[in-house]
Amino acid sequence: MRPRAAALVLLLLALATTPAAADTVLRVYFNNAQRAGTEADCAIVFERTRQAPRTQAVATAALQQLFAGPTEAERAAGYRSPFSAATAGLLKRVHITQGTAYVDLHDLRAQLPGVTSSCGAAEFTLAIERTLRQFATVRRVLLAIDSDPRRYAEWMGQDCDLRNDHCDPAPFRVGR
Amino acid sequence: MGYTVKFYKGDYLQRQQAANADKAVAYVEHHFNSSASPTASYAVVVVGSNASSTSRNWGRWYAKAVAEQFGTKVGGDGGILVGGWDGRGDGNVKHTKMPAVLLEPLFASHPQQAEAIRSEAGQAALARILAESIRRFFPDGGLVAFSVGHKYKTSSPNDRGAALAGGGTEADHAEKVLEKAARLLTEEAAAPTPRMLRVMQGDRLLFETVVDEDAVIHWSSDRNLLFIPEADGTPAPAPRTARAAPKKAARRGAGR
Repeated sequence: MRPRAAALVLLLLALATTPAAADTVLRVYFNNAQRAGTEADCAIVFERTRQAPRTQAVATAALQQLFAGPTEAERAAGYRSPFSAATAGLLKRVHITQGTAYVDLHDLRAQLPGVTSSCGAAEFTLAIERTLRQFATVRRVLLAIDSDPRRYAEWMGQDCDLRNDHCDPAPFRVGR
Repeated sequence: MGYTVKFYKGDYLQRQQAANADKAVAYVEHHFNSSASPTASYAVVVVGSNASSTSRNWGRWYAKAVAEQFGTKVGGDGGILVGGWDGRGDGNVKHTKMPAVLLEPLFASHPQQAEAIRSEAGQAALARILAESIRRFFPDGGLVAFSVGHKYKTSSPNDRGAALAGGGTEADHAEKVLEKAARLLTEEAAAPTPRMLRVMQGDRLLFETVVDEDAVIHWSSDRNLLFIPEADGTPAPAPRTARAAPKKAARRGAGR
């Protein structure tokens, strides 16, 4: 093969096997008891990467990837998550203001019945928090169902207090 | 002293406020744990972020007893999660004025544990442990408040909690355990019962005997032998000297 033709082939191979320059590489987090080495700690999550079309809404893209759950190959490798194809549409909106990510969810409580247990809550919230904290602008995460943080808190058996800004709904409705 | 048991319904805050108004001596909310991983397994009890030492010790005792009975580990900090996981579950118990526990003895998502949860024997074993824990930590009797997790909430009347692997729901089976525990508590004789030593196979009571309140019981794993000290301090092989109690009486007997 001539040198120029060989270089062209190598270039095409490289383009086929690495993310396009326009793609965004995002991290999502899932549980994996095999990697954690314990069945008794639901608060250990592991990073997986995802490629998404280039976007400025990286938090939205990351949560959409997270809420779609592990791939078949990842499941075969022991990755588990409360999220799956049934929850792929869970995200209603996320926006970040002064270090806080306000995550508004569709009401898919019926598809997530186990996440209010202590183990399920750890899996659910840690996956969301770790996924969002890959972005330096996020220091805290607050959640709501249908723009109502009180509904989320009641579902999780939490009080509305300082930790969740007393379930103030106003930030979830900004810009609507 | 005897026990009365009352089941509280409505949203969790209302249940706690009603139990406070009734001056209950103890508050129990029964759940089962759940995980995305079918192998996750441990026994744990959530106590409030403001929990008293009684609540904490009660929760640890219960989680340890469940772990021993079902061959699993205890989770959290020696069996308890104070304030729940990052505040989740705290609101279910922190508004009580009496000791309160939120039980998560087994995993609904674990196929073998789900089978135990569905079985009469598993429910009976959980009920017995709960009743024994209440007798141990509240020996003077009184009103015990029971709350079925998820079920009967005003704000979410269709909530039944996690699905059991293989069929059924968390809430319906938690209710069955509490109903059995209520029967154990209320059908017991009013008189204080002595400390009992029991040998069980699954839910079946094989042997029981009264032991001294202060006796330090020792298990020799090398010899498969249980030693109960005599009153003068000399160890005696309990299984050879003790008399098995009649089954009916045994089932009614209370532990300490």
